[in-house]
Amino acid sequence: MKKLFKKTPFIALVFAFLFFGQTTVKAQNKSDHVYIKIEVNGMACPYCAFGMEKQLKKVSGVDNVKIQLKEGLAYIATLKKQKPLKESLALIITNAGFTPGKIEYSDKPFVIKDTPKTKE
Amino acid sequence: MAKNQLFFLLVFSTTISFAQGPPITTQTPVMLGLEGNGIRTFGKFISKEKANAYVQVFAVPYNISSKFQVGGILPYKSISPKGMSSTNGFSDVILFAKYQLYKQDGKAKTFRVLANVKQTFPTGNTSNMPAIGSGLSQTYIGLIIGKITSSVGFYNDFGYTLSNKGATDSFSYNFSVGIPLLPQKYPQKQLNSFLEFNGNYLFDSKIHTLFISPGLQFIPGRRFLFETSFQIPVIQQNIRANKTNYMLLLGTRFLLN
Repeated sequence: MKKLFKKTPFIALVFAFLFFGQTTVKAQNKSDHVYIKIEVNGMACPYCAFGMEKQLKKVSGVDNVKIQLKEGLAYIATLKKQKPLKESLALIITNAGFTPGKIEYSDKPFVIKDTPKTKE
Repeated sequence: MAKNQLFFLLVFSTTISFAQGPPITTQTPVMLGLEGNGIRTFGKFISKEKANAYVQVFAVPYNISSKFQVGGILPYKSISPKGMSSTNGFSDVILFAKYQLYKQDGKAKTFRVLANVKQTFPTGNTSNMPAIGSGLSQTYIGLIIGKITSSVGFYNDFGYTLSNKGATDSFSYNFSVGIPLLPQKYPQKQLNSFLEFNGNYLFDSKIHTLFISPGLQFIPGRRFLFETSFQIPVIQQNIRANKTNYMLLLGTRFLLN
């Protein structure tokens, strides 16, 4: 039992290191990213939004695409070093069959409000 | 025109004009998602006064670009005239092309116009009675027009069909209103309702048919949809015998990539 008490500060230190170390890594990952909001005009139906999602996932470094249909918006995130140019994003949207609108970059994630669950 | 060909045109004129995507029996000007590189198949049961028929259609569209789509349609038909033995087999192959002529996009809405060309080849067997194929080469030239918002979709397609061998030319027209029954979010399960009208006019015989077609469509995910439509005749002008009682369509579409 005495041995266990003697070892407790060491174990706590190891846990603290693991916990804070992980948090630091996560924070580092977030600061490495650039968040992009894209206006996609013409995206009027859920079945055609899938085409947009597929094309945006092909952008280098993008693994997650969020689509807000009613707002006509698509959100992606990628590493800063892989930040795509506005021109190349606009071309992807055009080639997917839609019309590109405003494209915004941010160091912080965009606040995405879920569409209220009412019939549109 | 041979009786065999007239029978074929009367039975199948409405089944040939099918849609590539939502809506169900009218074509859509949107060539994306489930309208793009996927497969559509549906079965259609046709009940007539003197015959029953079943058509299983396989259609494969391919997007060359976001503005240009080509594809092929292969129908399998089974016809069972009352008091006669039934015939069945693969019918006439159809190749089609669509090209986007005009597009006006806005926030969660779009208006598009497409040119549509279809060529029917007489590949179906015509030696049996009733024939599975038409024995005709037919060229269809038409337009597809649609305005789609997140709350309602209006679709219209119409066109002229030229036939060879002295068979009658025809004019077909389809109109559809689609209303989603669930909130339009992505990704989400969708349930869409449609009210459609499917018309056809054969010039030589002055036969005019018009069907009213309520339909339902369920989209459980990104890659699949299931749909059904019940087509009821409202006009069958100048058809003296063997009028259509009703048609029932059950189908699915799925994306390959």
